[in-house]
Order: sequence, then C-alpha cells, then structure tokens
Amino acid sequence: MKALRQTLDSISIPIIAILLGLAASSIFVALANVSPIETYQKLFCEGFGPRGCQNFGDLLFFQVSNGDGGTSTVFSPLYGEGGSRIALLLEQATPLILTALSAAVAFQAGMFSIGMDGQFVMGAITAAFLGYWVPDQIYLLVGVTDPEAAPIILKTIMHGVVPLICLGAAMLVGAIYSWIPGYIKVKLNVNELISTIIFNAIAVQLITYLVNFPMRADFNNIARTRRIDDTAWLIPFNRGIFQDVEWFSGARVGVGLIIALIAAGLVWFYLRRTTAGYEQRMTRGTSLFARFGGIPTGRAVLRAMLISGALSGLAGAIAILGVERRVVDGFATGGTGFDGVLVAILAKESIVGILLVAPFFAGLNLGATNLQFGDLPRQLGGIIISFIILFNAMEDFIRQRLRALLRGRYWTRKSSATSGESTAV
Amino acid sequence: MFRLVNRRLLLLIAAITLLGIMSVRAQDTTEYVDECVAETASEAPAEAVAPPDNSDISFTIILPNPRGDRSFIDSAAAGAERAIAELGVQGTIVETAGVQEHDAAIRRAVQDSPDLIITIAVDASTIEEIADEFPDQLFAAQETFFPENPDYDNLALFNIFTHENSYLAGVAAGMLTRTKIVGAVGGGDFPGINLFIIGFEEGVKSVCPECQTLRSYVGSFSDPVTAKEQALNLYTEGADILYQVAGRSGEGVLAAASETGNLAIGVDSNQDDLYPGSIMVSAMKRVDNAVFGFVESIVNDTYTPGVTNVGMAEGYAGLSWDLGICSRTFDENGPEDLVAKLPEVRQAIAEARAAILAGDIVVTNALLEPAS
Repeated sequence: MKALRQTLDSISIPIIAILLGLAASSIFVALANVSPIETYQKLFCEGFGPRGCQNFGDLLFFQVSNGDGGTSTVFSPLYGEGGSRIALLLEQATPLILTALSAAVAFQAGMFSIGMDGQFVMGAITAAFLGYWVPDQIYLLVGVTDPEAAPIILKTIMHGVVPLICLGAAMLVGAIYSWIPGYIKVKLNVNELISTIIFNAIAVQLITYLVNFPMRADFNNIARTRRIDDTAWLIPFNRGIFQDVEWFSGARVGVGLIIALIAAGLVWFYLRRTTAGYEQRMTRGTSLFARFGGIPTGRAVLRAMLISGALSGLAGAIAILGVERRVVDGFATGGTGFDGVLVAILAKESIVGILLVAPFFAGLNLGATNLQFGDLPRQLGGIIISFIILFNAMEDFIRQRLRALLRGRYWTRKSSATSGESTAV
Repeated sequence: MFRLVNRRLLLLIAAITLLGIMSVRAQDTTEYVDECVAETASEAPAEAVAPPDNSDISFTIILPNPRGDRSFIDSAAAGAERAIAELGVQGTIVETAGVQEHDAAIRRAVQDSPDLIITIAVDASTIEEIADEFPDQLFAAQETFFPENPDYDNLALFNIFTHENSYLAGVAAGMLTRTKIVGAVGGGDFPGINLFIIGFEEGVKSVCPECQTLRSYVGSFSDPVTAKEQALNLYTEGADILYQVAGRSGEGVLAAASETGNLAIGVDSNQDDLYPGSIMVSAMKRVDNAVFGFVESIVNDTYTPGVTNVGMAEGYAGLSWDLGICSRTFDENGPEDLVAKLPEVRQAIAEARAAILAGDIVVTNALLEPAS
C-alpha cells in the first residue's frame, strides 16, 4: 500500500507540474495570437505522436486509412509508417541519458559538477579523431593501400575492435578531463562549479580550434573533420539490422541506446549495491562523519568524478560514432551536456527517473523545434519548455501545497513523515 | 488673341531648341544616364493578381539560422513567402538555431514528404547523406558548396557566384575611399566568403592600385558584437570603407560605420536603408529569386537535378543601385563630396560590368580556385 502511494505520488506531482507549466505558458502563447490548446497539441504531436498526428487523442490511438478508403485504428507509438517520431526522440535521448547519468554520479558524491558539456565534446573529438586515425594505421600496418578493397575478414575484425578503441579512449579522455576539477577540489578546495564552467569553456574553444585548423578536412563552407572510417561506425538500426523496419526510418538510433541503457544499469548497481557507491553517497551526506567513520572521502570524490567524466565522454563518442560521424564546427556549442545536467536535476538524480525524463525532455525539445511545421513560431516552444522545467523544479513546493489542500482527506499520512528520498530509487 | 497664340508658339519653339541643345550636349560628353530615373517614371502601379491555386503542391524550406539577419536568411525567407503568395502553393518555413539542428530538421521535413525540400546553406555532408537515404524525396540546395559535384537524381544544386558584383562594389569603394584604405569583414575564412572578399579586393585594385586592403574574419555569422569590434579596429587602422560579408554579424559592421562616420557596404539584401548615409551600396545576392525559382520549377514540372551555377550575367547577383532596386538612399544622405562623385562612379561600374559580361575582365572565383 505504501509503495503504491509512493509511486502514485512520484508520478502525479510531475504531471501536475507539467499542467501548471502549460497553464502558465498559455499566457505567452495567447499573447502571440495563437490558440494555446492548438499549440500544445502540435507540441506533443510533433514530439511524441505518429506522423499526421492532429490532436491529443492521436498520441495513443490513431486512425489510419488503409488502401480501400476504410480506416483502421492503430496504437500510435508502434505506428511507423514513414518513420516514427519516437525513434527520432530516442536518437536525441541517447546522449541525454548518458550525460544525465554522469551528472547524477557527480552530484551523488556531493560534487555539483556541471562539466558534462566539456567532457562530452572532448570525448566526441577523441572519437572523431581515432575514428579515422586508427583504421588508417591498421591499413598501413597490414599493407592495404585501398581501404575499399580490404579483405572482408580484416574489415570484420576492425568493425569489432575500432569502435571499442574509440569508445574506450573517449571515456578515458572524459574521465581525465573530469578528474582535474575533482583533484583541485579535493587538494586545493577550488569550487567545482567554477572550475567545471571554466573547463567547459576551454573545451569548446579547443574543439573550435581543432575543427577549424589542424583537423579540418577540406575547403567546405563549414569547417569539419574527416568522416570516420566505416569500420568505426556504430551503424544505426535503420541502416543495419532493422533496415526493413519502417519504424526506424530516418532516425539514427542505434547501439548507442543499448549502451546507454546498460550504463544506466551499471550506474545504479554501482551507487546502490557496491561499497564504493555507498562511500561516495556517505561523503555527500555528511562528509565529516564519513571521514570519521574511516571512509576516504577524497578518494570517493575522485572516483565519482572519474566515472562521471567517463560517462560524458562515452556520450560524446556515441554522438560521433553513431550519429554525426564527424565533428562539424558548431557541434561543440550545442549544449548537450547542459541538457544532461538539467535532466539529472529534474529526475532528482534517480536512475529510473533519468530514463523517463531524458526521452520526455528530448520529445519536448523536438516538438518545440518542430512547432514550425505547424506554422507556429519556434520561440513559443522554448517558452513552454522553460515553464514546464520551472514548475517541475518546484516539485517540493507543489507537493506541500497539494498536501495542505488535501489535508482533510489525507488520512493517516503525517506531513512530517514525508521525506525527500521517496522518489529516489 | 493673336498675340497670345504667338507667345505660346514662341515658348514651344524655345523649349524644342533647348531640348535639342541638351540632347546634343548629353551625346557629346557621354554623361552617365541614370536608368533608374526613367524606370521609376514609367513604372505602373502593380495590380493585385489572385494567385493560382496550387494548394496540392507543397514545399518546406530549412533556414540555417533564425530569421532577422536583415541579409541572407531574410532574403531566402522572403523568396519563400513570395512563392507562397504568388504561386498559391503550400509552404512551410522552418528556422533552425544552428548547424547542430540542420540534420534533425531536414529529417523531420522528410516525414511530411512535401514535393520539395529546399535547404539553405546546409552543410554538404548532411545533404549528401540525406539525399542518399531518401531517394524518393526531391531536394534543392541553395548555398551549399560541394567539394565535388554530387550526382543524385533527387538533388538540385543552385550556386550564386558573387565575385563579380563584389568586384563592382570594390570599384565603388576604390573610387570613393579618402584614406586609400578599404577593408572587408567576413563571417569566416573559407571559399564561400572569400569569393566575395577576393572579388571585392580585385575591384578596389582595378581603380586604385595603390589602395591598401584589409581583412578580418569574425568566425561566426551570428555575432554582431565581435564583428563590430573588428570593424572599429579596421576603422582605427585607417580604413574608411568596409565591405561586410558576415550575415547577422555584419549588422555590427554597419553599426560601427554609422557610429564612426565611416562607410560600409551591405551584402545579400538591400541594406542601404539600415543606416542611411553610412551604407553606400549593397552587393546583392538574389537568394529570394533562387528560392522562388525552385518552387516554380516544381509548379511548372521543370525540376532538374544537378548543378546550376549563376551569377551577375543571369541577374542573380548585382548591386542595390541597379535597375529593379534603384536604391538612391546614399545619394540623399551621404557626404556631399562623395555624392558629387557618384555619377562618375556609376559610369565606371557600368563600364566594368560590361567588360566582365563580355569576358574582358575575369574576376577570381575563390570557390572554383580554393587555393587563391
């Protein structure tokens, strides 16, 4: 009974927050002289609905006309004619899940590190470089002059090895890039918020330089690096195993999503079921007490920062190896790392929460950008998203108010017995 | 009564004689004749024509950045809006926030399967990948320069070469500079922008070989603040005319010109009116016409895949002083000593234009010769 009430509690509050966010932003939508309901229908249809989705009902069940003029009802999320938007959403959610996990690990060691953006782009550039450099070296070593004509067996082996090298190296670079702010925090007590912001700026500038000068591939209008070798490519589902499944058409969701889900499981296990995870959570809770109890808090913090950086680096590598295949000038300023921080905060650092919030956030983003396909201004999308996030961040406040409102009917529950931990998994 | 007729007759004769003398004098000195004056006089008010109904034809245009640069992107959007209004087609105009959104926006557009997807200044690799992935969807790319010409049955490429009209702007700058130093502020150091700048510099040198030319690159097309700083630096170094080739960043250059009392040259759209008197001319690139042409090709069923290169000869590149735009803002607001020189400048430009079109002057095309 208690578990049920807790689940209900943790689901209902975000939904109420979303509704409040929509209500508040409707003022601005109305100011722009468009109907709020129509805008929200468009927003959710573009983000989560099937192709041709018109209203909220279509999000779940959708009327499709079959060849002979009749219609049949389909379950919308599985409807994939011409490509599903859920697949597009998952493509966008993959790096968000990883960077959010990264933020969660750092936060749960008491480090308010927001360096995910810098680690993400450092991982990305590492993968982009090794993605063509490693195959080049292998071809050179084996003595293949024309990569197109390389023996199949060599290619198969490379397909297995090269992506692993790239992913591993990107994780290493991300980890090192995250370890430095952790180290100067532990040894010199430099505020990690400030140092990670600085490190983000350095990374973005460094990548802009690398893409524009040493790694620039050609005289293309927008500076870009060489495309990674095909053997380094994490082939997305729509080009690989699910080539004929129309649901995946157009979306570059692939192995990266599976890696992200596995990473989520491992992070949960680490935080909740290992001594190291316990140590870092203790460090966050009461650092002095933890040290008194014999926990090496400095080491716990550094370990958390290393794991956090590796996850962000992994996210960057997957964005390159699975989706972009090269770094284009402007990639570094996309802000994926910051979105990950936001997701982690909204999910209250819970792993299950991240797995739910990241796709939701990606869908909202997609819907906001694509409002324009319904002739609505794109700026409205940004306003609506901001309000939804704002109200979600006010979750505790909303919960209290709700309690006060319902006090008469909330029988046995004492307000003092509710702890903020109820949503953490 | 008789005297009255006589007087009228005399007046008439006098007028005819005067006209005759004037026309003879005009022929004598080959004075520049402003075609624009004649054109504005004969221009009839345009009649509103109801657009034909082509609502079964649809297109989507993907803009590389949000609108509001008062230059290149607004010009493309204007072309799309004109196509919607005049051709009666269904059009969707999609703004993106930058290069990281281009891919997702095009993929989303493909899901609607419009008759044509027009991309503006989207990177070549993105377009190639998507055109390859969706062979049934027609694409038209404007402002995308491929290192090698692509060969897809569903991709039409349209390149507007702007080196020649930049050359004409350079002629104007070379003749009007007081300090003998002119400069260019580019959005980034790559062939698509150097196309403008090299043409401009060649134009300057053609009329003023001793003139010094300066260059500065902003590194962004949406950073007016940095562009303004760079423009102020160039003005401090002695330049008095700057050519901006930097999209929305260029607004900073124009503002710097107006603040310091120097001159600037606008780009892509007619920017002469943004700071009247500070912007002498704009080197225009008719992206709007190109976009309109794409949509028209679908309506008329004349869409052909492949590469089309156009430039000044085809009317896609020119100056804001030209026939059809006839901007005379600078004549009314510019410094008097420079305005006095304008007929002479326009004469020189007309000659240079004729020489370019005849092939007597060859302006370097930085896109076809990237090494330059």
